[in-house]
Amino acid sequence: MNIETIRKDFPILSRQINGKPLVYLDNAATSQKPKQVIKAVSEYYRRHNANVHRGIHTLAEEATNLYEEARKKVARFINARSEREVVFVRNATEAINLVAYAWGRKNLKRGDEILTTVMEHHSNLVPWQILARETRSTLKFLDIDEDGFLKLDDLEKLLTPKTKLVAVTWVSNVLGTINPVREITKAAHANGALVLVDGAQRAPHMPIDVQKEGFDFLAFTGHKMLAPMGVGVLWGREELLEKMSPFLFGGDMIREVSLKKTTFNTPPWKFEAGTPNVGGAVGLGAAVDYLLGIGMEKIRVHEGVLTQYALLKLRKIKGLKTFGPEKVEERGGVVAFTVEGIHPHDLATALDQDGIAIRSGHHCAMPLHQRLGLTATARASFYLYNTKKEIDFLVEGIEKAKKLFGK
Amino acid sequence: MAVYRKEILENYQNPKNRGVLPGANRRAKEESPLCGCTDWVELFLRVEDDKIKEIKFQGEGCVISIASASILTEQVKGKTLSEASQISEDMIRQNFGGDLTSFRETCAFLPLQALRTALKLNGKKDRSD
Repeated sequence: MNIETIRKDFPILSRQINGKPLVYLDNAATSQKPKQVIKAVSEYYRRHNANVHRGIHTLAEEATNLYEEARKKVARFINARSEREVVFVRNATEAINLVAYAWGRKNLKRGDEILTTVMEHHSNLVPWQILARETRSTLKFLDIDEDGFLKLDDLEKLLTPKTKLVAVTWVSNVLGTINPVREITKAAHANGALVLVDGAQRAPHMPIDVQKEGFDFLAFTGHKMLAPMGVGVLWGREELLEKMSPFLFGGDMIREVSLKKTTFNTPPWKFEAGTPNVGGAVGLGAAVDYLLGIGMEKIRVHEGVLTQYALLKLRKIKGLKTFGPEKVEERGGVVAFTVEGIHPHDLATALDQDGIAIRSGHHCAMPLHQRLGLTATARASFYLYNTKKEIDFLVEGIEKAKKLFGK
Repeated sequence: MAVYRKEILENYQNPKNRGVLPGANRRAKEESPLCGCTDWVELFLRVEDDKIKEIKFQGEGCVISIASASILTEQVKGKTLSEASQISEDMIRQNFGGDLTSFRETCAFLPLQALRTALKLNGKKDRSD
């Protein structure tokens, strides 16, 4: 894995920000795009654009084939049994909402329970809050310990015969913790509950084998894994998708329509009402090709090296505190931290003056920040194109900010 | 570093009018979930004869929101309610030399929102009882 070669694939990395070379460390928010993906999207619109699934003409045939080929690529990427288990949506949030609507509103009733965790992104929390309110079911939470791990010992106690669904993130977008979803799935299934996994921070960075893991639904988004914004994936076991009602109604998701009655298409198409984001899906297919061309294991190792280096260097800064698990084997390439006496927003603004992009705030995980007793954190997150040198720039930038703010 | 001018940093490090005001008859607290953190500013005003005789603030926040509160409280002290109600977003931007990005403007506007709540300008209830 040659990082310099990889960096050349990403045109935006040669940009200057405030007169300095861009150091992009906000990958947990969104990734940059390689020219291979940009070209695939551009080629689609230059040469193949047409509406999918209904047209007889040549372009319609080409567009449909490209769209369905992208679905197959995604299926292979996560080792799904069939591409019919891959539903294209807008993003991970929509994937989770789809399950909350199409499965949740049919299968949950008063007194039932949904179990989630305190470390969720709002996208894997708010849909369940609303579902619980509407179905009068109860939302329960698995807590974390001081090291940022889920308290799995509490799992047995929290899973009851009333638990219908466990919704958990695979990798925390703040702590970086990799949760043992296979173990959680075993416990949930033994209890008769289904499991939905938020894979938004997993899919871009580590290999996925949905058959091995055994859970029931997986949500992830394209834009965090080199693909364009506006295309995401819900993977669900085929027998579950078959039993679920459509989420949105209209064109493309139907088999037969008369004025009074409609029969629906089969999964995944029955969940894809209206003209889909074909260009986005084609871009996602190209992103999958790019990632698999390098190898997810290699990407994981590279990010592990960067994370270890970052933790080591950052912790040497006086007044800086990092959050999440100690060992890089147990965490993804996300490092949230605070610097005593400097608000994360001020740190982010100061670093931006040197072309360094980090995230600051609660990272759409307000309950987790409340749990940690923090109003906000700064977050650096890495991807395949980042280097140790960029982490050195980050460290220098933080030292400079400390001087500026007199800390 | 354009936005963090000496004057701004001084207003953050030694903010003016920080504290509670025991004799306050107007009071408003604003939180800033929009800026992606849970910073807050609370204003205490003593209004007499249609004039802001005294004003104090307390809060937890970044350089921008605290400096903004410090500068704003200085600006409205002694003003009539009608004069204080004229304070606009543009005037807050000017306090920072026009160097704020649109994201950081939400930090700078937080004390202004609290002022408008205290002056009952934005339909929200203040906490003056």
